Amino acid sequence: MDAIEVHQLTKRYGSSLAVDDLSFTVEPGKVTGFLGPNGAGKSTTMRMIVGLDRPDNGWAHIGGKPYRDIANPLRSVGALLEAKALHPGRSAREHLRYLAASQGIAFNRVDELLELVGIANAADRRVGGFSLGMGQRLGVAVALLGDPGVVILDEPVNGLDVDGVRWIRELLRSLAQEGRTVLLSSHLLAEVSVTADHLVVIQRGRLVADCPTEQLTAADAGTVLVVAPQRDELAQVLTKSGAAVEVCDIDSLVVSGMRAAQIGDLALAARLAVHQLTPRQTSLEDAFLELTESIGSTS
Amino acid sequence: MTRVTSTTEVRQLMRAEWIKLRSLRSSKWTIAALVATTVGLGALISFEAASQFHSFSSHDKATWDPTNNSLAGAAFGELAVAVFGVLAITAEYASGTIRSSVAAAPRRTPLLLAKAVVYGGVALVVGEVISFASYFIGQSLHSGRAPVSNIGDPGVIRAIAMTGGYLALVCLMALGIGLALRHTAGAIASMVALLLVLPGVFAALPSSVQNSVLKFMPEQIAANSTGAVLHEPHYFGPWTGMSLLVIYAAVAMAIGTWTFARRDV
Repeated sequence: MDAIEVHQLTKRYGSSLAVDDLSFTVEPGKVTGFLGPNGAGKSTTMRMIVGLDRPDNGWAHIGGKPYRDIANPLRSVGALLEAKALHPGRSAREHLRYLAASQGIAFNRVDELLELVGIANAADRRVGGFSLGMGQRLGVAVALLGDPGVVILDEPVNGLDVDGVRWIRELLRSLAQEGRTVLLSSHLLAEVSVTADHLVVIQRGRLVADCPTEQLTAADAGTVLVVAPQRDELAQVLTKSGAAVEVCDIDSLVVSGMRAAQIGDLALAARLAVHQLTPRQTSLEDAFLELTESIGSTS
Repeated sequence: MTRVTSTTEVRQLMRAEWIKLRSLRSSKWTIAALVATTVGLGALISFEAASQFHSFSSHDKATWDPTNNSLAGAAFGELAVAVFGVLAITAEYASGTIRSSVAAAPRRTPLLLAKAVVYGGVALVVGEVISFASYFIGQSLHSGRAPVSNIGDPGVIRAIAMTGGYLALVCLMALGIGLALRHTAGAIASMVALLLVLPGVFAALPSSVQNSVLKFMPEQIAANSTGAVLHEPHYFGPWTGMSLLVIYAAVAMAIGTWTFARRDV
């Protein structure tokens, strides 16, 4: 299966740089999370990968060539870039059919996909009346229409209910297991870290991290606020077990590098009372900052 | 290594465009409007002319062209076909469909070629059918009250066929302008300006200037190409005029294609 290569990609809107000298590779057989706060340049990057936007500099290749040089591109690359890329007056079936026709794909594939994404019973309704979730499901059907080796999804869980979110996670995992290249964007670390094997993190159009997911989630493990009457004794126990402890009040500690459950267990084993045990997640922004310091710009 | 556009690619895209056209109410409505205005108003004009013919001035009687009169509905149908051509592309921009379409055809030019063939083709086929229908309806309405023409008379088939051709060319001009402007309202306003407003403005100019400018306007060219008998000495002849309209459509499509190939969607 084909990899996505992004090389020194740059896009300027007026005086601001939406994407700034961005380079990374998305490998087949894995789900790669494309992470960054809103406005970081994720969508712009994805649009340049599939040839909707023209880069001001650099290039994006899929399987070694630009998207525009791929014949019947939907058979190689499937993309869900935004839910609203269809005419409200057209039915889901007709939307899929015209795209299928444009790629020389047989119409029975359309029926198959309508079943697969779970909108077969709404297939002949005008999509203008679709909920956001149904629109996303149709978008996924469009992405998978050509049975592509490369799947690119921009914020696919937006508007999906709990079942939908679980469905899309399982779908993406199975696509990667089949050896396909999967790129999935999100502005929520918690969201992609469940699904992604690898993360590419950008901020203000620049690469912040390109690393296995564990590396980033470890950085985001956060701290635990512990309120204990025998503060110093507990601090000693935790330090001995490898945690970093900061004394912050008369009876409280801020512990990092250890999960709340483990702290509770250690305290119980040492017969020390714990009055409060509060995990505190670092924000994604903090995680980015830590990453820029600890990992540098590339792995 | 660049990919060469294959005929298969264009054929597939034409099929896609045909599905798109068929699956939208707006295209059916604009085609219905084209048929209704051209045939309906054509019939009304023929009926009116036939019933007034006895009171025509001798000059009007001398220049009476029953062929041209029966095809007059096209002067209204042209607006419907302009909307049809504009919406072919601006509806895609308004809805976001353009992104799906371009993702499926990233080279873009084959996409436009397919669109031009399908939309222009539909406009041509429908245009020819309604032009011939208007002609025969018109002659039957004239019959008995005003002189009629016969389909075999010199210039008659040419005049009818050029009426259908004119409607198809207006569709392509509208598609080109829609591509360049990307907005429905702006593109329709431009077509109305080109077809109706500008000729009105030019008509207010002194006749020396008027004659040299008006003959370049699409509707004036059409008026002179869709008659069996030539009346306006200052205007282009039918074939020169039609060739000029083909050039207009080609220029509009070229500008539209050029901008479309370069812009982000």
